[in-house]
Amino acid sequence: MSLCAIIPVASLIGANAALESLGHGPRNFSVPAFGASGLATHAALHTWTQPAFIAAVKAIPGVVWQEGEGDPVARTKSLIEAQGAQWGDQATAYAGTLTAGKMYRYSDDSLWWCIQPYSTVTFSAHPSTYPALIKRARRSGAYEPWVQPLGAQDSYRLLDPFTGLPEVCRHLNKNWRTKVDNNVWEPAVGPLWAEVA
Amino acid sequence: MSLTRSITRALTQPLTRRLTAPGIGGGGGSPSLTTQVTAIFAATSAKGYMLNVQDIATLSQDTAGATPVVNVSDVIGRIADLSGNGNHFTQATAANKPAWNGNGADFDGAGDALTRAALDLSGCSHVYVVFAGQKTTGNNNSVIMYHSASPATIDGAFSLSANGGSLVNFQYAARGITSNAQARISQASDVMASTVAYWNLTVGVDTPTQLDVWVNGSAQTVPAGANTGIGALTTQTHYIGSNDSLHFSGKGRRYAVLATTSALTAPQLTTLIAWAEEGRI
Repeated sequence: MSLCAIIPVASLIGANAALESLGHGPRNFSVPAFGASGLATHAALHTWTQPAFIAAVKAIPGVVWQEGEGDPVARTKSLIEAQGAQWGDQATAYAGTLTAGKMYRYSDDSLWWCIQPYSTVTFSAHPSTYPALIKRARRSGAYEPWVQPLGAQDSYRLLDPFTGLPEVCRHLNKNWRTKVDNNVWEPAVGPLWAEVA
Repeated sequence: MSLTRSITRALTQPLTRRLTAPGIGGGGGSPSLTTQVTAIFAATSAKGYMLNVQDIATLSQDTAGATPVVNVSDVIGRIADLSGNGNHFTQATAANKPAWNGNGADFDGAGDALTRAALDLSGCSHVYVVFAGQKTTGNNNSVIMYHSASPATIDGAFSLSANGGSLVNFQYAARGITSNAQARISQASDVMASTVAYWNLTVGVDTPTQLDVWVNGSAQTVPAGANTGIGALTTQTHYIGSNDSLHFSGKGRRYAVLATTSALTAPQLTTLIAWAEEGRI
């Protein structure tokens, strides 16, 4: 018997803080689940039998959980998808004909969210070549290419709820960390971005 | 490949078979393979660690080692290092503790991992990476073992993975200063398997001359790879089961890293391979 659980990302920091305050360690909800924006919308966990911890997870406001037997990967994936999100780590390999609204993993382990269906045989260049067809997902703590935010909803935040640190990116062969909240500006030396060595 | 290394590889197969034969290495006055590998650490002053997850006496539910693992499905928060180096592995986060399955650990593919922070592998020119276990499910490129300053840092790191999409290969990677030395061995990782990888850190010319691999006790042909140099290993975090983003779903029985200043002798290497095989069978 084990437990899978998921919460909206807005509740992530509070949920992890509550579990840590009860002696269950930091960052229990650590599995990012992505939405169509290319950003994580939920955070999930799976735990083996630990009665006190399971009770504490179930008591968190807004948590959705499933308890039972069976493969943890299949059960966690099912719970994530029931919330309308997708598990990046278990995304389908980028190949063949892609389906809109589904997440794919490219050969370099980067994650992509398909906007419109297309054939990777016909459109065989790197997925970044086709911004109208597919969008790169942003993974917490990873120095992935900077993407111009469309607005506050996908801006770079001062507090990444998964890492507890400012969001980071890579641009012009340099790593950057935002110095302000809801940063929509291109990385450059100045008051908005700090270069990371 | 040098003559010495060719001879070493030729010697290991028959010796492995003899050491893994019934009654050898487990009793009758002979020291166990675990004892023999511990002795190799001492004899070579090897840095690193040696985890026998099949040995319940080495497992605790908490990070301090105060609450022993007793029953199947108890979680594992600490694995004691048997190398003599004191590099015990721990996990403080409840959701990321694997579970004891009676003959090793079950990793859930959703973050289960143990780590050893500040694992010092500096000053070494050779590293041996040992694993016995099985990937059970998962579509991902899952990390079995990972040694790096952080998952985002690539220089001077190495990893062992089981690939996604297909489950049928292991991937051995060492990340050099300019590029990634990488070899995929088409041996099933979705059945219980053992693997030993040997990286010569000083050569840095081409993957087949840097890397030797044994799977299930047999030497493998390492395919050609990019020219590279792994660079010096340093004091970095070592992960088993996940590197914080690529999670392993499966069973883990044995893990070891021996970092040395010279290559192991043929008998020492044979013993190491046999210890990994003992974990598979």
